Amino acid sequence: MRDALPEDRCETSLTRVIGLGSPFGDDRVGWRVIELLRGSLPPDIELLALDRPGAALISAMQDVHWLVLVDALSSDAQPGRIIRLEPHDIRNVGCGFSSHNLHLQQTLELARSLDCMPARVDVYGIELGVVDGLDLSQEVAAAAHRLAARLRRDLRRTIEAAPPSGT
Amino acid sequence: MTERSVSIHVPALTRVEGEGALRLHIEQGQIAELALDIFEPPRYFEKFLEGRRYHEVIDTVARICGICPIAYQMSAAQALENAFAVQPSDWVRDMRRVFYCGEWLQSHALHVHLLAAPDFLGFDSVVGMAAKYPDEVRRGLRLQALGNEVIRLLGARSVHPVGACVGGFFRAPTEVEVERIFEQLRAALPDAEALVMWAAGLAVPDDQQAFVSVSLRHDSDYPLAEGRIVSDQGLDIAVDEYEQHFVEEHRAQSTALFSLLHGEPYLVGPLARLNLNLDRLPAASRNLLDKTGVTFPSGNMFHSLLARALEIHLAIVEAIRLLERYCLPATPHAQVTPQAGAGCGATEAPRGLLWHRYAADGDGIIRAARIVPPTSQNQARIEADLHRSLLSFGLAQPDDALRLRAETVIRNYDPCISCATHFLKIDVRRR
Repeated sequence: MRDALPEDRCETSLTRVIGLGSPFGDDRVGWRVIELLRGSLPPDIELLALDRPGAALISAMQDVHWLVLVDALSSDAQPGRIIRLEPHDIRNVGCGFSSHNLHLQQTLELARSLDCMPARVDVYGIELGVVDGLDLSQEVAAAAHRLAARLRRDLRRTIEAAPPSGT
Repeated sequence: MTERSVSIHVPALTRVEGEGALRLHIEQGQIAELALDIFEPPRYFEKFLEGRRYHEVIDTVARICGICPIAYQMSAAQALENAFAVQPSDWVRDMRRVFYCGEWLQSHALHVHLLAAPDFLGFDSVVGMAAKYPDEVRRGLRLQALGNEVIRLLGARSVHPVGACVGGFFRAPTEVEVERIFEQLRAALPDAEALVMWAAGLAVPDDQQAFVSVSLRHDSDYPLAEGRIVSDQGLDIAVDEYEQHFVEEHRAQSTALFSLLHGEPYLVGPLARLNLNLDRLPAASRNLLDKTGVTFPSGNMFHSLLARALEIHLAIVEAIRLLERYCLPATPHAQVTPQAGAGCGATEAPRGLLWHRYAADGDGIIRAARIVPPTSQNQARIEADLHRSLLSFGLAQPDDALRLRAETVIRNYDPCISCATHFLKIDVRRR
């Protein structure tokens, strides 16, 4: 069986970028960033689009050294604003575990309890505007391009400075 | 007898899907008021479907629930096939069972490990539980991931899968794809066996209750995607006779409907299924259940967790049996020609019986739809259970203990409140 959650955490240098989102409006932005990054990064950086945090995200953290998470964010800021969060900065509105999903904060807490948090986790949030229809708003589409360019530069620079020891 | 007056309000239930609340008012040691409020925004799916073409139904109803979309798709497909007199092939019927096994596996694994187990092990949530029981939580996540893999095999993706159609599936998986999942299923059996023994060993309250169990019953197999509707009180009806026996009613505090069988609450879901279908268990699952030493049929609602665990084992055993003999079909779906008429369908969602009825015209346009999800069928039973369980627990218990017991009772049904909400039909009269 391909073990989704190996018993022992293995040392790894794998870098994975995960975009969280849905098909709806600006909530799609996490997926859009992944689309923009495809084909433009060194092949040993893995890209993944997920529709929600939760069990699948924990599985996707396995064997990862550096995890970059991109998700839409809802606060009072201007649509399209990009902010970088530490995992402990994330607070969810609402409460508890539902049977449908774990929120991002809970997923990260659970990963920490299971000792499967990657050594480095960067979370980028893009302030969403409208969650209606299937298209990104102009501001958020532009922000997706800005973040993709920034990630392309940062990931390349960091990996060139410290080349993987073999994955 | 306590003399205090207690009012417990749990404004938002956690570890259940959707938004619900509980009001409990105790006066002079008696329950003066107890109500499960459901205030999930009303859903209009039945109305959305009117005027749509029949083939749109399968993908639309999948959106009702993110965790049991296959149940909605399978009940709808069966109802529409009955309306159009379509006979799915044996291959389709087998693969629908496999598809459904994937859904039971992922839904049950999530509920048992992440949502219910913390109650019985003394934790607020799975995060705390994971620090002390990491292997058990990892097992739950592995089994859930495997369920999603099985769903992807036939549905192309695990969330709101798109592989099913009226008549069968759009595409048959290749033998290589099947072989890969088959091996994963075989390798997961020890996890499922360990899970059942672990679930049987959890210290759950011993609270025997009298209730009516309702589920599907199949000629030879444990019920999943087809069967007659039976109860332990002698009910044995065809799926299209449902409305003659079951009635839904509105209550002011809830946007879900309360469903009654001959005027009484009843139970659907894993415990009801197991109580009614012990003789339909595969031999390996039956032997495992015997090894636990727990006797079924059971009147202890808290044995739902063990029933769910056993259904995880059964889902793996059943998927292995069906995939072991997998052959590519000549066609993955039957030809469908719409005709005017109505049809009913019922399958066993992870949370219990899910009944649909559709009427269509000769062009295959949906003219009426009715969907009765398991949580609304269980709602009257949950309230009756709460009443009974809290009296049995002792109303003199501290408020926090009463609150936790009430939440535990509700979570034990794995309610999916999002699925269960409807809205009153409004009759506007103007003068």
